[in-house]
Amino acid sequence: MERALSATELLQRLPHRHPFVLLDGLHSIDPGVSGVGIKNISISDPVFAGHFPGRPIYPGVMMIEAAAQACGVIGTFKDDVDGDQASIGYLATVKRFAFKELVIPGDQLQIQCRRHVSVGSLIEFKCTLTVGRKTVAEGSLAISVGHGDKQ
Amino acid sequence: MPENTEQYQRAQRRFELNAAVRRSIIGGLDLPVDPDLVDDDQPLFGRGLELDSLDTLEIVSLMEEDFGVYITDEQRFVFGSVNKLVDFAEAAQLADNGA
Repeated sequence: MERALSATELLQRLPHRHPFVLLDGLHSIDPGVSGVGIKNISISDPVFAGHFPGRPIYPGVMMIEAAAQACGVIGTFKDDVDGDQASIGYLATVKRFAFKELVIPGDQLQIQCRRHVSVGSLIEFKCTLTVGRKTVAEGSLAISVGHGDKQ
Repeated sequence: MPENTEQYQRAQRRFELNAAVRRSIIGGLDLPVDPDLVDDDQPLFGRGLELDSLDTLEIVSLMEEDFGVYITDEQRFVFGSVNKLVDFAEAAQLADNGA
């Protein structure tokens, strides 16, 4: 069974809200193991008001956050979500992220996340972010699976 | 002990593996400590090397990359000291070799 989440379905699983919901979709989900996040880069994103005026470039730190949101959903994924989200993935570490190409409005980021190691409530994922066939960024991040009440 | 005995060679291998694990952890975690000054029975967490839970992820990763052994949740006791990590690595390598 292909597990995929639309933007509205993601809102049932992420505690984030506008303007900090950074994923437009998540597909190929293997719960706790892997998945591919989708992030459409739009000129209407408020971040481009300042980064940079007249020369919009999507910030690397936002790419890390988008990857962290994807890993958080993958790491805490359960098939049934009803009512309050039982657990949340908190960003715990960011390691060796490198940014290889500029990401600009019109691009669609594919965020491939795969579990590397895990200990207890900590899961480290390796993430590769691509636009088309180009790898634009890659690195590792860990999430800590904790409990939280959805607002 | 004569250098050509099996016991001597086993002790030598163990000594070298302990040193390699110390170097891997100290280097991988970028700790400001001389690997040769870390006691093999010194606790890695708390009052020992003062590692924390996030460092366990890095140790799992280092043991896999440098020594080809994977520590699962059930084997978390091996984080106690360098000797426990090396005991685990030796046992896992022996098991992999079908011994």
